[in-house]
Amino acid sequence: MAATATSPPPTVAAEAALAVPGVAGLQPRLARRLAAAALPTRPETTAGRMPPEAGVRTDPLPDGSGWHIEVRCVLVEGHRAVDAARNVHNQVRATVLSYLAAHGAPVAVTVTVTVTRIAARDHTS
Amino acid sequence: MALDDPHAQPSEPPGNDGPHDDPATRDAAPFAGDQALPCGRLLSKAWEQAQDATPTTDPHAASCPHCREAVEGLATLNAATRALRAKDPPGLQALARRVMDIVRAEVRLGRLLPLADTVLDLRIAESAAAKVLRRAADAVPGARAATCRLAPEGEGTGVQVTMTLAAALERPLPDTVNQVRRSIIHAAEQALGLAVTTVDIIVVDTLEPFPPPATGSAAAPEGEA
Amino acid sequence: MERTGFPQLENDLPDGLLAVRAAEGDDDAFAVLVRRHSRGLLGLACYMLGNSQDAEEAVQDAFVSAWRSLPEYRHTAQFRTWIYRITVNRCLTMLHRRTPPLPLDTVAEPAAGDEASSPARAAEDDAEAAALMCALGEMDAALRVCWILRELQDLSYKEIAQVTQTREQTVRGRLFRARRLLKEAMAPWR
Repeated sequence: MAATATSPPPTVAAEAALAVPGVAGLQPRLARRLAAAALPTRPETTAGRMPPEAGVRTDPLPDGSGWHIEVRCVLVEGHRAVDAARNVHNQVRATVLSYLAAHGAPVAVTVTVTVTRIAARDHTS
Repeated sequence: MALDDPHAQPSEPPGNDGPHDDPATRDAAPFAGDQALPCGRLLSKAWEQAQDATPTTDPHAASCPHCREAVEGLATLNAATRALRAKDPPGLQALARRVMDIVRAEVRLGRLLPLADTVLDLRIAESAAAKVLRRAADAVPGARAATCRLAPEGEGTGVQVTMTLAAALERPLPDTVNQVRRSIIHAAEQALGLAVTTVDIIVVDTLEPFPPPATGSAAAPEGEA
Repeated sequence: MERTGFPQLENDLPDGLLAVRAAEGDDDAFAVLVRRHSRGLLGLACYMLGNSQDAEEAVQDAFVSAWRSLPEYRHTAQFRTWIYRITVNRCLTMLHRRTPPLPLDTVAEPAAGDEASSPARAAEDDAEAAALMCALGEMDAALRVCWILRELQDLSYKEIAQVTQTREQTVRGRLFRARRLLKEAMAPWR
């Protein structure tokens, strides 16, 4: 069962999302943040220093025909949320599809985009 | 829901028993180590009056040599106290930054609302949308948002907004409310792309000027760190 | 520090309104509260605990704890009273855990002289301040809290009573005892 066995690495979706204008960063899920928080940290480490792919979640589609990808992103103000989210959706879907095709596994991909926060322009995450 | 009014008496928090002080009971139970000055005034009271620094309308305190001497005894302590007050606690900026890093990592998203795209599955966290809509309300003169809740309405991408507001009384409330409603609808469309179907606005408090005018012994709130 | 969008109108919001917003998850509103109160709280904790590192930890814990319990905070007391109470309790817990108690002369260096006329005068002021800090450290924590809140933080008797969850009469009594003790400790500097 080679075709659907290997999920697309989250970095593929993450990098695609980060390349969209208006995206400041990705938001990790609570479970990952709690796990990270449990590790001893140096005083200067901020809670937000998780790899971008932590904001991507990949699940197999119920009928096994492909993958569902959820992207949680932080937007910069000045970009209409629905437009930025739409761009993230399109960009992620196209990039993941093309990755899977390049690795010999053309399958279905659906994408959900969640805007978790809208940050100020001068915020450097 | 009770908003703070800095001028009102806050109701006693749970666990804080005891009646308010009145002069009759105040001197009833003497403090350990207290003593009466030769003039009959209690040492503790002489000190209290001096330290409280309220302009004294008490002619005794102003003229009595015993009371004055008792108060002068605090001079060295007061000088050292002033030195401590002048110190800036170190690490303020770093502390604020660390606190907000933790807070923002724990940010409560609230429920997810659909953005206005009927084809794609695009959502926004209630807390993110609420922040934008509160700002939109704040931009209306004489209005400041308190709570802002959003909920899906209908089967599609409709969203209803419920906001509570503090409003200044200088303008008629219906004018303020209508302007806030228009501001919210505009921001929902322009900044978010949210299909707002209903906007319910409830004025829950009057808007107090801030910082509040000085009221004697109450400390002024701190400014920027 | 991160800010969100629109002009910073929140700076003119009273604490109560900010607390209501923060309780809903508005972290920018909470950031204003942090900025407003951290100086006072850090000063309080510094003199309660005797060193800035412990003080920062105590105040950080207090703010984070406040953020987490804001949804349950019923606004019956003012936000400042509430956050002061949390901080005082945190300090008392930390003091209780210490064995042995640390002397208070490890508190941060004195600020550059506001009215420093001469190096000798500045040194004398430092010595006086250090002596006061030492005496504070030796004082019972309950007395220390009342004295700091009144003499360094300018809280009213009523508010101190609410922060320490005692009666005003108790606060006045503790203040008197604290003043006596500190006055005696400062006697060599008269």
